[in-house]
Amino acid sequence: MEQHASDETLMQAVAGGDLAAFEKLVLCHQESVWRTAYRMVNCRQSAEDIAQRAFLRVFEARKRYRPTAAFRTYLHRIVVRLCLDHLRKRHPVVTDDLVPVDDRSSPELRAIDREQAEAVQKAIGRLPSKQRTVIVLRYYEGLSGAEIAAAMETSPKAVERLLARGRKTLETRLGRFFSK
Amino acid sequence: MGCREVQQKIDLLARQEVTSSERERIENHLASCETCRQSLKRLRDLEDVLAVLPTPPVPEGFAARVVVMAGQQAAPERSTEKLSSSTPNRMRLAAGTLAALAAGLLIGLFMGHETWRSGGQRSPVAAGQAVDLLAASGFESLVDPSGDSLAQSYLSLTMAADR
Repeated sequence: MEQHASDETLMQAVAGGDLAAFEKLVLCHQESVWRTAYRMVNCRQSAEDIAQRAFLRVFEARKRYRPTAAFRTYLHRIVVRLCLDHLRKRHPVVTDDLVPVDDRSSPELRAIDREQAEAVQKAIGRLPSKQRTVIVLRYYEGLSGAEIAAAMETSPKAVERLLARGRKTLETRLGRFFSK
Repeated sequence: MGCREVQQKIDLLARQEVTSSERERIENHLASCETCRQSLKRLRDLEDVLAVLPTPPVPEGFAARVVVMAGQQAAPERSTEKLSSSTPNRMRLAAGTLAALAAGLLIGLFMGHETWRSGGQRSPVAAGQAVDLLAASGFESLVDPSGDSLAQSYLSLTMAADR
């Protein structure tokens, strides 16, 4: 709640043209926005473009912004729209190499982690765009079902259905990595 | 609560997003349903597997670039605001000019129409002048001295030819 109040205060300042307040908002939310965009489109260049455009849209709409929902939800709604537009226009091809996994003590562990990470990246990349959206927002951004529904402008029931389908698909593709 | 509903809500259960009564119903179902217990286990395994995917860092200088772009965006907006404050006056001037032009066009059309309508009803003086001109041109036979229409003259000529 405190974060929400802080975002609101900052947005009020941004509405008055305060760029320093806007910078604070960007610094506070850039990781989440960037991560969501990257997980959705799997391309650093496109993800950076989407993330920039998301924040610029917030800035453009600063005078019209009304705190009817949490700022984080509002921001995620913009990011989701941009990502889905991007995916509609282009084939969701995985183009980026994986970011190196954490350094582990043994090469074998690093190899296993790398194989698993590649499989996860590929499996998420092959999901239909809306299932991919709910999986990313749920398991990488920690949004609640209600927040995801608000970000995707759909119902909580629809989110539950998408999550169930997305999970089932991922379980099928990644089941070999599950603990016995 | 059936398996289908539990399967859909199992994710919410894992994240503490169900009401206490829903939790009780789900847990009661899980106590007697091996299939749904396995689903819950797979959900937890999936979360562990998904977590392996490394998080790429935010591109360096991202925030600074965005703020610069926002600042560039704000500058033209401030100029546009100054310009748009005089827009209502300009629009009024343009509207007035258009209205004047439209009125002038209408008056012109009206006068032209009236002139066209009154073309066959010239004054006797004007008609007489026209007849003199015709006589001078040698086409006086086309004019009926009584001043009737050209059609009457034509008929007179044709009837004369028949005779």
